[in-house]
Amino acid sequence: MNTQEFFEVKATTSFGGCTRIYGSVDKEYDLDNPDHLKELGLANDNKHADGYCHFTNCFWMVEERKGANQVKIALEQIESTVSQLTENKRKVTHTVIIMRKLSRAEQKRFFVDPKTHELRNKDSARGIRIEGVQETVKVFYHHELSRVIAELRGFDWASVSH
Amino acid sequence: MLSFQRPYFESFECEIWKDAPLKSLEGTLLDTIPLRNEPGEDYETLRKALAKFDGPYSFSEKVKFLFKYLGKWKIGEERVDGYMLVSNHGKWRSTYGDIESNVYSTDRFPDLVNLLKSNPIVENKLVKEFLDVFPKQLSQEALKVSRIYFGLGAPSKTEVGNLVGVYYGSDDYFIGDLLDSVTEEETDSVRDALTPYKRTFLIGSLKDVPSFNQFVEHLFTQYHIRKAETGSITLVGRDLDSFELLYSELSQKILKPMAKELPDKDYLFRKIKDVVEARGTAQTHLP
Repeated sequence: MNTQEFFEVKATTSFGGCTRIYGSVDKEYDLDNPDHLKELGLANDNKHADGYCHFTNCFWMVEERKGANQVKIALEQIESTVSQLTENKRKVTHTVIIMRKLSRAEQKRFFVDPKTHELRNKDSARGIRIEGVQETVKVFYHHELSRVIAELRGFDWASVSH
Repeated sequence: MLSFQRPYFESFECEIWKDAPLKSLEGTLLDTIPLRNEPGEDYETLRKALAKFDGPYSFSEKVKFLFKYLGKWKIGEERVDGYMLVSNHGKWRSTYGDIESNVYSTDRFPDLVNLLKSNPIVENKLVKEFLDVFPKQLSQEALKVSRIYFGLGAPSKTEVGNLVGVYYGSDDYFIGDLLDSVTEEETDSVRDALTPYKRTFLIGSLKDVPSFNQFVEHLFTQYHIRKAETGSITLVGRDLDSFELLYSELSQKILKPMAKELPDKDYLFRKIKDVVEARGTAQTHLP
């Protein structure tokens, strides 16, 4: 990532919790903060995602940011987090991975739909889903974050009911 | 491999998976076996645990089980949770290799490579020494090590720029990986120029040019890549971007110009068509 990209990403994400993909948040947990882990009843190991938050449009999102581009590890960290959250009666409606790019090795197993951002299994073309979460996992690349956030903010979230 | 990593990676349990290493990837967790971090004892525990599956699963199903050793990396004062995945299933082996070690990423250590780079002594032990010694330890076994990749994310032979260290059974593999990377990465014109030629022909042709070998040796020095050669080849980069810089320069200065000069797919196809049509009759004209 070059310097300009770094600052673009930094400007559009909140590194203490979640990226504002779906608008404003009114509840946010930084999962690198031991106090927040404790409050949510999550194990204090590294096998958890980076953020858990509630957007004002009623989405409950778990987010994993990947600096080193490994979708499989990101999925494992999200799976572990969602499983513990749901066991503790917490809600999760959306899961997202934010990363630089899909590595060439992982392109054999996965692809990301450029319109829906859905992470799909390349063999079956099915969207990848975390147990207990209805929405499929979404992947957003660093270089497209600013544009995606602007587009999603233009979406009429008020018409979405949960 | 667990024995080699043992001073730095303490494994406390092993998960046995069928089809894939995660539920979200349509895998099934068959069992979780607690371990004591004693290789002999743990091997026996796992053997007994596997015997349970003799009835429900056939031999051909069992040899595709995936084993995920969960544990903690201990590098100096640092403690980071991680895993070692043994992917016996062909689909996952082709993506992540036969055996893959990594950490569950944190802000400070997004990858095992970052953790190893934090301690030069351990890095030397677990990267350089591992690449030098591990393949030799297996030399008496039926299975041989052909390649070991150390790199960020999911290292691959078609992404040489992401590597930090590598072991090859033969130096031909390194040139082959460079060619595969440039073929995957570059535009259709480069791909079309290289794909008609056999890989072994391109590798042999490059190796037979002394100035190519000299240029590569010069790049190893320039980008701080240590090379050890004893029939096999071990390359270890000093910096995270050593391989990226080497690959970029080799690709720009040699591989792409070479591709540009070679008769490409379209040229060869036209030649074939011309020859066939020149010898054919009116009824056998090709479109």
